[in-house]
Amino acid sequence: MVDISKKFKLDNYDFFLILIVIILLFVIVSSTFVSEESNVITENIVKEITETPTGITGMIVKTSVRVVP
Amino acid sequence: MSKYTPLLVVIVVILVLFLLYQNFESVITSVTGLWSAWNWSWSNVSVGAAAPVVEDVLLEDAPNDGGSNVIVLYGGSNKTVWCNATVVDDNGGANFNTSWANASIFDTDYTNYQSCNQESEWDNNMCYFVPNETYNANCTWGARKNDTAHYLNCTFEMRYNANYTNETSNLNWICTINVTDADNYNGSGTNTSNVSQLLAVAVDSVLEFGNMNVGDYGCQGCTGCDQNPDTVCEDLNHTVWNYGNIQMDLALNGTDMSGSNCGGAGYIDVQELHYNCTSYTNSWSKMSPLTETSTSVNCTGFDLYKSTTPQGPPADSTKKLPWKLHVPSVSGYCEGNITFNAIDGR
Repeated sequence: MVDISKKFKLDNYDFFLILIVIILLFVIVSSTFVSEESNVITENIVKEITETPTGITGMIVKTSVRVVP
Repeated sequence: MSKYTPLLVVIVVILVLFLLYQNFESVITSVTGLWSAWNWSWSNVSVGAAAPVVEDVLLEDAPNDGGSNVIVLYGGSNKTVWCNATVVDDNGGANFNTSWANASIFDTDYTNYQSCNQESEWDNNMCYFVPNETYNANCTWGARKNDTAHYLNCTFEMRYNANYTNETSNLNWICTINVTDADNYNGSGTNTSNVSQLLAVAVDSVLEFGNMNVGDYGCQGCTGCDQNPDTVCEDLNHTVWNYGNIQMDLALNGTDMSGSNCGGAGYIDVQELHYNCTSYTNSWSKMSPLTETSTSVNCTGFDLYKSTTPQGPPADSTKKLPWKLHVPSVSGYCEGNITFNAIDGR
């Protein structure tokens, strides 16, 4: 079995720093997962919507007369 | 200390700075949620009973036609409006009361807004409340954001006659969401949006004067009319609907009446068509001549109010626009078009 501490000449202080690095990476990665979860929820809401016209502001109407003799 | 120590210190500093650059609070909250999701028992912290907090309330329409904090209504129908929020309870997920929540939206001119918290107070113009069995409106608890936060979505079907945002009086719409938790602590949150002005019109599809003689003023069936332009007689009334939320006037123009079956002179000048925007049963000579397409004239004073029906589908707001026609030396069947445009009538 390889003794990493001897191979790289690491002391306890280095192991403590490595542990902090691992914790910080975990915090950053986990926060990314949660923000992706929010995006998924937003997309679901968008898929539920339907489009309809907002209204008619003008109309053209036919007018007529029959002229009798 | 080893030769790697300075490198490790630098990495730690960079990661800490990166975390501070991001929203540190949300990051910590997220990690808390993950601990719980994976059922890790890392530590036991005793948190006292805390009231739920309603955060990030957002009142907007769906689809969001007008952009952030602007609600665009649909003419003659309903528009779905969302009031969404995130509910945070520091006591954790078990403390949420997901069987209860309510919400109201009301305009700020509604003096009795404190009563907008029950189904009976529903008013299409100014107050909507959920849950409401009659209108199938409710609040729905959505996905869990993390262990201490829950999404909450409340929907309203806003009628087309809802009051618009008035810039001069600063009238706008407020959404209030109320929640409670297992400890019977209450929480609420609000957000404000504008409702845009809506112009929407409908008119009878045809304006038929029927059978008339050369020289007549009026229409077939216009009682009292004859071949004198100054004779006071009945009108041919044409119905106009206001399907918006503001008082409406009209802008009118038209074409000559002609066609392959229109003999004699071959056409009736557009100005032989007369209307009156403000009164009825006038003589043809006291009414306004229609103008051709390129010179639209505003029919001010028509003043067709919006529907004010408080509950249920809005009753139609309609008004008759009176018309008379003078028939010159033509024969046969003559036809043309009239264009009705809705304009702001306030």
